This record gives sequence, C-alpha cells and structure tokens, in this order.
Amino acid sequence: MANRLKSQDKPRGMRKILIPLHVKLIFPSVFVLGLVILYPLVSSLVLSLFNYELTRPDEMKLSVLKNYGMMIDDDVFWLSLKNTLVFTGVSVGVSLIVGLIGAITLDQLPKRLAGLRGVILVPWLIPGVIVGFLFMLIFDVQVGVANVILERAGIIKTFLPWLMDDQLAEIAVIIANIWNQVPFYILMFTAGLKAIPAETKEAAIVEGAGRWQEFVHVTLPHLRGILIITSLLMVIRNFNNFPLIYTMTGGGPVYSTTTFVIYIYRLAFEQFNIGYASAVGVVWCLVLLGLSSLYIKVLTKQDSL
Amino acid sequence: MAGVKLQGVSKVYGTTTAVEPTDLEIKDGEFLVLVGPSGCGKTTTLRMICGLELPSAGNIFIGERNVTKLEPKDRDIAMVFQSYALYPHKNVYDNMAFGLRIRKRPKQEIDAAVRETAEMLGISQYLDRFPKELSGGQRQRVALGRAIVRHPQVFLMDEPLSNLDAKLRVQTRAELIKLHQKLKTTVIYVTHDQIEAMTMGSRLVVMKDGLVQQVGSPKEIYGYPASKFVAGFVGSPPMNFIKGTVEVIGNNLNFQAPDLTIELPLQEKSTWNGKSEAFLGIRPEGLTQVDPTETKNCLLCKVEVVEHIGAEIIIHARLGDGEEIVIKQNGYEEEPQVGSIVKVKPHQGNIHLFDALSQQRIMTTTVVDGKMF
Amino acid sequence: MFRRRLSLGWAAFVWGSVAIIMIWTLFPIFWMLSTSFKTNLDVFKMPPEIWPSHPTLENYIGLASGINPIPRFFFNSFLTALLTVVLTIVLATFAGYALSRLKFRFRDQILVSVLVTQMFPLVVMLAPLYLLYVKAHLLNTYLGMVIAFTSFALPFGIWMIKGFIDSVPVEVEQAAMVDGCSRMQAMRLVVLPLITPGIVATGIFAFLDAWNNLLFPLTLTNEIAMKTLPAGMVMAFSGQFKSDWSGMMAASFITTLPVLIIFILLQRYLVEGLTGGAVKG
Repeated sequence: MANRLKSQDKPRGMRKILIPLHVKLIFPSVFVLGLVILYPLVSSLVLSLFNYELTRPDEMKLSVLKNYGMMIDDDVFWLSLKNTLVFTGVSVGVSLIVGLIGAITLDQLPKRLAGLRGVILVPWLIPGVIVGFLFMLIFDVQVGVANVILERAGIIKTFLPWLMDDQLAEIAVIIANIWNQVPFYILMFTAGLKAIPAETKEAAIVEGAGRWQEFVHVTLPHLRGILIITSLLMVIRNFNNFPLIYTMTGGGPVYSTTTFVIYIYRLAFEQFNIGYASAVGVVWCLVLLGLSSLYIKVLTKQDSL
Repeated sequence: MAGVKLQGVSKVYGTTTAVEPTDLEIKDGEFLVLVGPSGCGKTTTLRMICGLELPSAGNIFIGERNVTKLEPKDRDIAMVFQSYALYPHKNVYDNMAFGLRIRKRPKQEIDAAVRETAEMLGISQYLDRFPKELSGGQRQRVALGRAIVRHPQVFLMDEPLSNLDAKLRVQTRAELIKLHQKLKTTVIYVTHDQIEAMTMGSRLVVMKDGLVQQVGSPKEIYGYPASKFVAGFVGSPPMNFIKGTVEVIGNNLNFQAPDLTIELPLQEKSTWNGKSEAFLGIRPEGLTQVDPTETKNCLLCKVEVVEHIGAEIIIHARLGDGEEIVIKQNGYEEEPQVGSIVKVKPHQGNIHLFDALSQQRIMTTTVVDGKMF
Repeated sequence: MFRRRLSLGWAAFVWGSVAIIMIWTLFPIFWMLSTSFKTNLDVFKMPPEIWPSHPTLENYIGLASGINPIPRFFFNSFLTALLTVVLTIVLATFAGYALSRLKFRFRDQILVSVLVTQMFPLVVMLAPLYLLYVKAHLLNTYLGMVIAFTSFALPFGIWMIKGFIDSVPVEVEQAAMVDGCSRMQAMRLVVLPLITPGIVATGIFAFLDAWNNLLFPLTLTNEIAMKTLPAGMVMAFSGQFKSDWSGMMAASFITTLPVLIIFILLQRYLVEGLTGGAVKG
C-alpha cells in the first residue's frame, strides 16, 4: 500500500518537470540569435587577439598587441575610419533634410494624389546590390547619364571620371546611398507629421504664427522624437552598409570609398587575415557603440518629454 | 474691446448644412454663450468667427471691421481650445509669451504682460514648468493666460471646462465670471452644458441642427422658451410635456388630454381659433401636490420613483395614459409614497402651450400661487 | 482642420519639390528599364537614347539561357526568402508574445539585447560564422541561409510584434480564458487576428531582408548553384561582364520585380506596421 501511494504521490500541480511557458516561447529566437550573432561575436572578439590567417592555420598564436598595433600604422585603417564617418555623416545629414522637405511637401498634396507617396518608397525596396549596379551605370564615364545631364545643364564641360577618381567616387556612392534611403526618412517623418495634434497647430495659427514660425515652434518640437530615432537607426544602418559600396566601387579606387565594413570583408575574405579582420571589427563596434551612446546621451538630456 | 456682428453667416459642407444663415449681434463686453446639443453648429459658428473656417455665405464684423476674409491672426481675437492646445515643448512662460513675441513686442512689455496675467490667474509659480507637469486645471489657466495676455478685442472659448472634473468645473465657472467682470472684454463661449450656459451668459444663443432656436437672457430662455426644443433643453429636470388638443371656448382656452383638463385664460396675442393639437409644457417645480378633493386643473398620477437631493425632492410619476411626469418639491416637505396615487396641479411658474406641428411656443400663462394670469 | 490660404510662393515650393522628388526617384528606375531593352551596342551610343529606338527582349531571354544560371539564383532567393518569412513570423510571434505578456526574470535585459544585436557589424561576425557553418555542415545549404536570414530579421520582428501585442488590452485575452480557452488558444484565436498588420509587416520585412541580403550568400555559399540573386549577380557581372550593361539591367529588373509586386499589393500593411510601432515608441 505504501509503495503504491508513492508513485501517485505527486505534489499538487506538478506532473513532470514543467518547462515554463516563456522559456518555450523565447528559446527558439534566442537560439537562432545566439547562434548567428552571439557566438560569432564572442568568437571574433577572441580571434582579434590572435594572429590567425586562414591560409596558414598552423601559425595561429596569441598576438594581442600585434593586431591592434598594426592598426595604428595601417593607413588603410585610418582611411576607412574617415570614409565611414564621412559616408555616414553626409548620407544621414542630407537625407534628413531631403526627407523632411519631402514629407512636408507630400503632406500638402490633395488626398487623391496620396498614391504618389507609395511611389516614393520604391528606391528603398530595391536591393543594395541593384542600386549599386544601377548607379554604376549612371556614373560610368562612357555610358553614364550623369555626365550627359550635367554637361547639358552646363555644370561641367568635360565628362567626369566619377568612379575612377578618389573624391568623385565618394560623392557618387553617397548620392546613390541617399537615393536608396530617403524614402525611409520620408515614411517616418510622414507618420510623425500626422501625430501632431490639429488643435496645437490651430492655436499657433490663431496666435499669429506664419508657416515658418509654425514649423519651428510646433512641427519641429513634435518631430524631435522621430528625428532622433530615425537618424540613429540610419547611422547604424549606414555603418553597416555593404552591398551598395561593394558593388559600385568595391571600395576603390584605391580604398577611397572603403568603409570599415568593406575593409573588414576584404581582410577576412580576400586576404584571409581573420585575426586582424576581427580586431578591426572590434574597433568598429566600439566606435559605433561610442557614437550611439553619445548621440543618445546628448539628445535625451534636453528632452524628458 | 469690440462687439461682433454676424450677417447671414452660414456654413455648408457638400450637401450638409452645418450652420443655417444666421444674423447675430453681440454687444461689446457681453458674455455670450452658444449652447446646444452635439452637432448643432455652435462650434462651427465659433470657428467661423475665429477664422479657422471660412463661411459659405455672409459677413462677420468685429467692431467696425469686416473680418470675413481675414486670417485669424489679423482679427485681434484669442481662442481657448477644448483641449487647451498648449505648446508641449514650451514652458508656461513661453506658452504665454509666444503670441506677443511673434508680434515683435518689446521684451519688457512681454515680460510685464506675462507676469501680470500669471498673477491674475494664480499661476505665477508655474512659469517655468512644462504643460506635462501641470494638472488639468492648471493647464486650463495657462490656456486662458495665453489668450488674455494679448488683450484681444474678443475672447472665443470652445468648451473650456468640459475636460475638468465636476468640482473643479463649478469652481472655475465662478472664476471665469469674475475674470470677465474684471476684464470687460467680449466673450463668445461655446458649451453643450445648459447649466454652464445659464450661469455664465448674459445672453444665450440656443442652437439645434444648425439653426438658432432662440436668443435671449437666461431668464427669458428659461421663462419664455421660443420652442419646445429650447423649453426641454434648458432646465433640470427638464420640462414636462403633455400632448393634447386645444380649443377656444369664449374667453378661455381649453386644453384637453386623456388625464387632464386645463382651462387657461386666453391671452391677447394668441392666434388660435378652432381646435388644434398642442403640447402643454410645465416645469417640475411648477407642480405641487394638492388635496384629493380639488377638481379644477388637476392631474392624477402614480408615483414611481422618489429621489432625494437634499434641498429638493424629485418625484417621477406616471399619468393614467402612461406618460411620465416629473415633479420637483421642497426637500423639507413631506414626500409621497412610492406607488401611491397623488393629485398635482400647477401652482407657480409658467404654463406653455406649443403648437404640435411647428413646435413653436404659442401661448404662456403665468401662475402665481395657483392663480392663472 | 484649418488650412492656410495658399500663397503663390508656397504652392510653387510644394509643387516644385514634389516634381523634383518624383523625377529624382523615378528616373533611375526608368533608366534601368530603358537600358534593359537596349542591345549592347545601343548602350554605348553617345548621347544615350532615352528610350531605345529598337527595343529588344534579347537581354531578358539571355538571362534564362545564358552562362549565368539566373533562374536558379531566382529560385534560391525565392525559396530562402519564403522560408525566412515563415520562420521569422513564427519565432517572432512567440517571442513577442512572451516578452509582452509574460513576466519573468531577465525580460527587460532580453528585450534590450535583442535590439542591440542590430548594432553589430555582420561583416565581423562572418568569419567565425563561416567557420562554424563549415563545422556544422551548414555551408551551401538552404537551412543555413534561412537561419542566417532569420537572425537578421528577427530583432525587428520581435520588437514590432511585441509593440502590437502591447496595444491589445489584456482583458480581451482574459475574457477568452474565462470563456474556456487555454493560454495558447487565446493567443491564437484572439490576439493573432488583432495584430495581423504587425505580422504581415514583419513578414514583408523578413522577405525584403532575405531577398536583398548580399553578405550572407556571398560568404556562406561557395557553390554557384546555391547562390541567391544578389550574390549571384555580383559574381555574374564581374570582370569582363562588367560592361554587359543591358544584361545587367535586365537581371536587375528581374531581381527588383518581385519586391515591387509584393510592395504594391501589401503597401498598406508596410506603412501601418512600421509607423504604428515607431510612433508609439
């Protein structure tokens, strides 16, 4: 009797080991993210400490300082840092302004033309690779339309070798990037504009504010949150931008359009110097994290609204 | 300081008429209330005076100026919105200073004006706070302050009290009245609350479905409502209406309803002859319990609900034919039992007759101590 | 809502801006199309024709029969993208629900770290990932691709779905459970229908991310037959083929088309999903 009781003597509510519901639900996502992101992340941190070249795996050895030291002397490293900052800064800056103007002017259109707003979004949907190819064509010195248009408009006299000149290539790549990304800004700002309460706008009008004053005192303050989120998201995204630049210029000519991302890729998969690539990657991460937290700190300090 | 005049002002949206052509004259310094149920056109009218809506027809004058086509900023008016519409990213001081700054007033002048107004409204200690940190009542004062500081010719207010809790509403009502007495500026005030309208306005404009039903002082509106609608809209509990037929017999008007026969002295100005359908209107406080032995002009009804409100007792009863009536009596007098049958008769106030078809008031008989005049 | 009186200057500015933006947006796409219909020789005409005088379909035909297995790339892209959509939606919905409704330790930390994963450079992690894939035999497999794509789309999806679930009142689910549903049933029958825009938006973004992704297929596959369109195209139009402009544009257009179609059909959800979450946040 006592034995029989034992098998049936279970504590109330517990039949077997219960896996809590939340664990069951979260686990798959955590697994995937952990596998593809966390593990490589940690791994690359570790690898950055080693001198690891895929072609000579036997010579892998700890050389912490060597990798990071190499970086300081590496001209390409500093160039890619500069390029990354310029690329991101100009892209985001110009896109913010164009996006804001776009959102405001599109907002003014009569309802029937609302379909136009959908059309505006198209560039953002196009894969980065395609944008790269497309603008490679447009900026080509032989067959590209860019030169033709500029010449016709009287802005230039001879055709410019866009993708073969250091600075022109940077400009071309940034223009392509802006074309690709502005729709996202327009989308976000349009949503932000719609969230401004009508009565606040009307109050400003009754008080006598003109269009510009309304923009500065009512529209912009309300858009602040969206501006911050959007630009932060895009800074991160631009830091990460690979397909566009890789396809359009491959990082050239001679590293002038090489950003961190491109440089890391080429180090890892063309020179197979994984240790060093990882080290540069770590620095990349730190720069981005630093920038982001600075960004957030500065912008949320003035803002508790 | 200026009066406001509307001439034939109307507003049409597509096929719907929000406001019928309206003529209105608001005297300088008056506190005019536009009152009516939702959708009656009062807010649209206010917005047209403000300049936020363009009238479909008609002219609007502020003082001597025809402002019909002018932008709001050129009309020298200020508006207090229902939601207050404060600038969330400016503190109280800047909220109030904004309008003056746009008009490029000198800094000294602005500062003095803002502080003076803040003092008047009791919000001086909140000047560097932001709307988010203020309570509803405080925000409302900032909205008021913003309007006052510019010393406009006319104040427009769109249901400014409706977002406040009941107690605060009563308190703020009195403060607004005092403020008006002090500033003496013309105020046009919109509300759906008839108590607010009655207590605050020097004149009321009752609106329904875009049409002005009546314009008059609270006393006029209450005592001599122009239509059945106005009669039923103002006053709480609302006026009792009994349907019946009216017949002129000699010097008297006989009103006949299933449970009531009333003989009213014929007034000179009434135009009835022969028989017609009509509504008899009498307010709850106009009826009183009488001895069962009385026979003339009495109503027999069965008491269903008795509400005690302290100083008053509200009795809901039902007439023989099923119609409901409400009687209001003094809270210190004895009340009837629920379920009992009582006899009531008019003893004070006015008895109105409304034409059944046009709903307009045709005749009013004043009753004093049970005697009709 | 009051609209200001339109001044000539403002109207000119608005219409001018809209016109410029429209031209700026559509011209490159038009150019892509126009070039794709030119013969290779026509492309080199100077000045270039706006629209080919002898439009031809030879480039498109060439895609199917040419050296580069574009149709195969297309298939790979399509398959992996669809699987990614499914996997992402399922995983994101579960995780989003748990993060929204259930209370547990580390909830906030997990939420933040999910977002933070977006911040790390894919590139850097590719090397170790590559090595991991080799060991796990995931290289050159559809499964490998799908897992990688999903990891990219998950954080955003989780965040979006969580946001949508947050806006569904708990009482509605509780009412369902009082009526007899288990928690999972309540989620399926009550919550899911209410967050459809969020789910669709997540799916669309997952598809876009998978379809447009270059890095993963570029590095995690080395067999030509397994590459997706972006990686395939990079490979196809390198070296001597770099000047096959018309062919490149034709391939580009084919690559863009599915995305465009999905967008046209589902644009409502895209806008609603994206702005619903962002503006609230």
